[in-house]
Amino acid sequence: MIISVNWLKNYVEIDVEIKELVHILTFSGIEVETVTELKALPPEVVTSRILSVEKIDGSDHLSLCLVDDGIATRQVVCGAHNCRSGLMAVLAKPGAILPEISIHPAKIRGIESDGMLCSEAELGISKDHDGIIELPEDTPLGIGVNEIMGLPDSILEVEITPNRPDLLGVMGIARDLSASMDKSLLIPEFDLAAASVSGKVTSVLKIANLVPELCPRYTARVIRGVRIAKSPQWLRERLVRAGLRPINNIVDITNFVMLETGHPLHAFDYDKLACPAGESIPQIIIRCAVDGEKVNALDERQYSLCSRDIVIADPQKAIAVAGVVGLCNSHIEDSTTCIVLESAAFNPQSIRRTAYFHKISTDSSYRFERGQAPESAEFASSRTAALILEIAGGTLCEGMLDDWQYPQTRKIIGIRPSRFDQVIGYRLESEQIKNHLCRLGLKFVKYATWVPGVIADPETLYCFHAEQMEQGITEFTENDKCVHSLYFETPPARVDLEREIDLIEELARLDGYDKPKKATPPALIMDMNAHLIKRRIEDLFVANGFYEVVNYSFTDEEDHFKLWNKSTAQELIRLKNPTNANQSVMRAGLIPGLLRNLQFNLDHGARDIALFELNKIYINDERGRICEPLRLAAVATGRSTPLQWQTVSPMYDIYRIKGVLTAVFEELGISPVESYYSARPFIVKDRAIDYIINDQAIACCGMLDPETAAAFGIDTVVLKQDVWVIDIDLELLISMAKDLSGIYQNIPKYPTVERDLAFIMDSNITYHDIVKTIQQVDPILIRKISVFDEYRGKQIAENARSIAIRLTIADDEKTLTDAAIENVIASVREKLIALWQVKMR
Amino acid sequence: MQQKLDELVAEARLAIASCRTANDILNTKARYLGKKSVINELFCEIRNLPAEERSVFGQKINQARSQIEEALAIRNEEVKKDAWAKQTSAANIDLSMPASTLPRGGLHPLTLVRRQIEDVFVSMGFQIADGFDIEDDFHNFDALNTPADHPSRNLADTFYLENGMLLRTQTSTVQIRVMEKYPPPIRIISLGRCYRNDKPDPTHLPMFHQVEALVVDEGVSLADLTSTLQQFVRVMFGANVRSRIRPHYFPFTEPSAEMDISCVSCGGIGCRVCKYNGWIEMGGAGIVDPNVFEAVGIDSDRFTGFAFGLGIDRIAMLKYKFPDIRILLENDLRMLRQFKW
Repeated sequence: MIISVNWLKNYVEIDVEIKELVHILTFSGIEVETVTELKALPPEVVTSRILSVEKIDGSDHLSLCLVDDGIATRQVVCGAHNCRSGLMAVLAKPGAILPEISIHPAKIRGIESDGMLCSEAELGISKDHDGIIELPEDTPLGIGVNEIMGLPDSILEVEITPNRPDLLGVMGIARDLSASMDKSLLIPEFDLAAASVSGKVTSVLKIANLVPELCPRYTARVIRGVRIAKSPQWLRERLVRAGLRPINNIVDITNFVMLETGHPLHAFDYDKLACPAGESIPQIIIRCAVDGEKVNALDERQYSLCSRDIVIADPQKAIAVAGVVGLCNSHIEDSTTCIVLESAAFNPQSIRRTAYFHKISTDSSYRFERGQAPESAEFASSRTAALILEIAGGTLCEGMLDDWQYPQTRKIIGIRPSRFDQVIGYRLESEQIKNHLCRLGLKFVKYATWVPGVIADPETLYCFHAEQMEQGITEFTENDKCVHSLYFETPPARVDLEREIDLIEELARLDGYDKPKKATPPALIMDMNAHLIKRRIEDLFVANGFYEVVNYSFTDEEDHFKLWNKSTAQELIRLKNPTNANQSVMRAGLIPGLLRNLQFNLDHGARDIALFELNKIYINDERGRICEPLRLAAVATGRSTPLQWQTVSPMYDIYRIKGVLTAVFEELGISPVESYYSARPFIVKDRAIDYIINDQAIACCGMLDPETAAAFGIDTVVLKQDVWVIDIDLELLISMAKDLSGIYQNIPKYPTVERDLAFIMDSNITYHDIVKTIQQVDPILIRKISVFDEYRGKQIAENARSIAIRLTIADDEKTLTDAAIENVIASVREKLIALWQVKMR
Repeated sequence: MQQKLDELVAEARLAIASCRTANDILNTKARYLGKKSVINELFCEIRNLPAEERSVFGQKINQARSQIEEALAIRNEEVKKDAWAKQTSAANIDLSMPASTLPRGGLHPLTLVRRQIEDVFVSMGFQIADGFDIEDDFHNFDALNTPADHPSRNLADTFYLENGMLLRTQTSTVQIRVMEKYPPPIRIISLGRCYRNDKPDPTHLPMFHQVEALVVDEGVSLADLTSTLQQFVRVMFGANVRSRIRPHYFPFTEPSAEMDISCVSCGGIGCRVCKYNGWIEMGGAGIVDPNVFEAVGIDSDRFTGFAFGLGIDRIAMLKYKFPDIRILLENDLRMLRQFKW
């Protein structure tokens, strides 16, 4: 819904900045979606009177006007159709800077024009370009127009939640604001009783409500002798700011009251209503439509109604689709002099069905389908009638026809302050509860002991503290039978208030959701990242064919020294009272245990074995402190894939082992540097890779020294199998894996191209050298380099090898041309030949 | 003329019939219908004919042309079907030959159980805390209300290290570590290794695994302990398994309890697994002793808490029906391969 802050100020005092107002609204449950500032007009825009109008020769619409701006008479050229002598208009004097144009003295058709008479569109206050603004006769001359135009203003677009139909009018919002800002609500004053009346309404109109369950209340007034005209400026302004189009004074007033109160109204032309046969008084009938009943609505569409739709009708024809849209056969026209003013309440489900089924959504249906209380109809009707009499003239027929067959009884609900504390988390004093709720329009009934549910008769409520309360005591401890509660009568418009918890929500929202003391959230004890990484790596090893083992935390000191030399002895943590010698020190590494497992399984006939352990080791660090870091180690021997009948199953080798480690690094998005050397004495020197990141070894892999294997009872020569080991510093790995989420990269629009290159190179040149060289040729276009063949042998020199490489080339900007691809490949060839003296094949 | 066309169609039909591939079809089409084909030449001759003959002549060529086209289309379908048939031929395919598989590994049964326990408790809003295996007297005994001369220090034979530290005898040490560092509310479990100087036998090892749970908040009661335990037992062992607690003694809980579950093997009737009493002991539990709160500076008037410790090895043994706890640490591949869940 769109509301003007200036309008809002008519009902509640707003003494805060717009920013603060927006905050208050949003945090009391009325979310402000956009704020549009309407700026003040410059002082050069003033009220003026057109003294004379003279057609300009040779133009079909331009006139030369003499205009009195209060100080001087100016000559202005104007093209508006409603430009006439004597009109009070808005003049932009030279120097005025308007949203679209700046005003300067100009010559139009050779005639001097010293300013501009403005339309609303030109002032930037609406889209209305239909003629210049017409101000009331009695407007003072030569004053700034900001006050008349209600500028400056702020327009708020607010989201009204479906449970709050009472907020679908400016007054509803003002009422809520009055509660959240603790200000008085200013209800517009009018005195309909003082209006001149002529005859009784009962003698000019009758109502027959055939569907009281679908139309709980229907009221009608009749006003005679109205003058249909364009609405006054202030009224038009209100509608325009709320996003409605002004039509004529009667329709505009009904819309204005709808925007003001939230309650939709409709006006019929009295003279278009038919009388029942043989009678002389017209009758309004509220009934269901006949299946297939065709009506021409004011939205210029024809609807074929069905029996679920409610219509307002006279004895001959439907005159409105109830609560949804008016019909052309009865609407207010310029010739109308006598009107019927309808203010009613309809069943929300029925309106919703009709609107949904016929795909009509109007300001009226929008409000009725959310629920409008029958009680609101009367105020809306009186307010509208008073405004019509004031603006469109006429005389009111005395009284209001009112069909209200089942008026609701009062709704009284209790609230326990202790319950508020329990649900919301802090204590709200009774006086505050009363203040907040009464500002919302609830009526305080009494203090009494707690009774759940809706109370029909407040006289049945009782309290043990009656005496103290008479003395003005309102706060009680709840240590006796009396659960102290406050009882309120809810206003009819608040259809959403039915239970104690509804009142608690109102209070919490008005007092502020940030008010309760924050409960301490539990401390973050768990390292979720480490937990997830640990599991992911375990799963990765399992997926690569490894079985997990669990070994003792203590081990044989001798096993340690089979891998490491004696100088590492001070690392070891020794038990004072071991059960036996082979469990005498805490393990300082996982590999000895794994080699024991390997030996055990080899002894029991297994040949293809891949094992890993992920757990703690226990060491004294350089400074003698005890550490329990996480480690992962793995050993593997034999076939790396199960025995297959289609293909040869490869044995574990350095490349397969490297592949497992590479998978771990890729999974965590880290890229350590490979160093083809390891300081670990138990790994064969030229079958070893250390992985370095920030000068630290994060992992290593390689072939287990046969001598070390033998020390663990594994004879690799007899076995004819190599044993491979992996060791990962898991603590370092986890600390390096910082960003595990990733960011989406656009899928390339243009196709990638693959090209193969084969060449012979000297044996002492590494693949790594080649890859680096190729990458440097064009790091943008060359996306991927992979090797798919290596050959050494008879056909080439002894100290050389042949390599076949596949390049993946792509361009994010365009489709690669053959020439561009050839260019890249040629550069790669040139560079390889120049740098490494390779021979292309 | 008609005869010439008939001969041409017959010749084309023969050529089409001998097509074997999609390429043959294309070549044949070019030969008989293409720019240099006889048909095309005949078409070009039309304009040399007298006007009245043109129409009949044209019709005849078109007839021949569509006959060839039709034959080509039919043969094209046949060639395609033949190719697909060859591709999908069942000859020499023995579907009973074994699948081509990737290598597979597996997690140790203790890890499988450990993960399951972690997930059950995380689903109940617990966080997982880490602890140390190597502890000091304070965290293993003193802070847990077990002063130096306390008889319960004899209950467990403790491994000491040469540097004066010890290997924790239960995971309750984590309670102290967490409460020292974090204020309530606390809702954690901690899983890890414990050590006691026991001789290995079918039900004991000098190293075993425990899961410790600790909840500290306002208004935590024994009822919360039993409901948490029951929920855990139901998820781990199935909806039919019941749990109970009975009075016991631990220095760091008051009241203290031991927890049993109805026998997962016999359902409570009595069998070898439960030593014919229908219940299996799972671990210790209780309400955190106010003295423990004092030791870590938590207001024991405002806060209450419960704690319990369960043996993971024991849960694994019950779940997988291991006859001997020592099997777990042998790491025999023939055992490891058996468990996936």
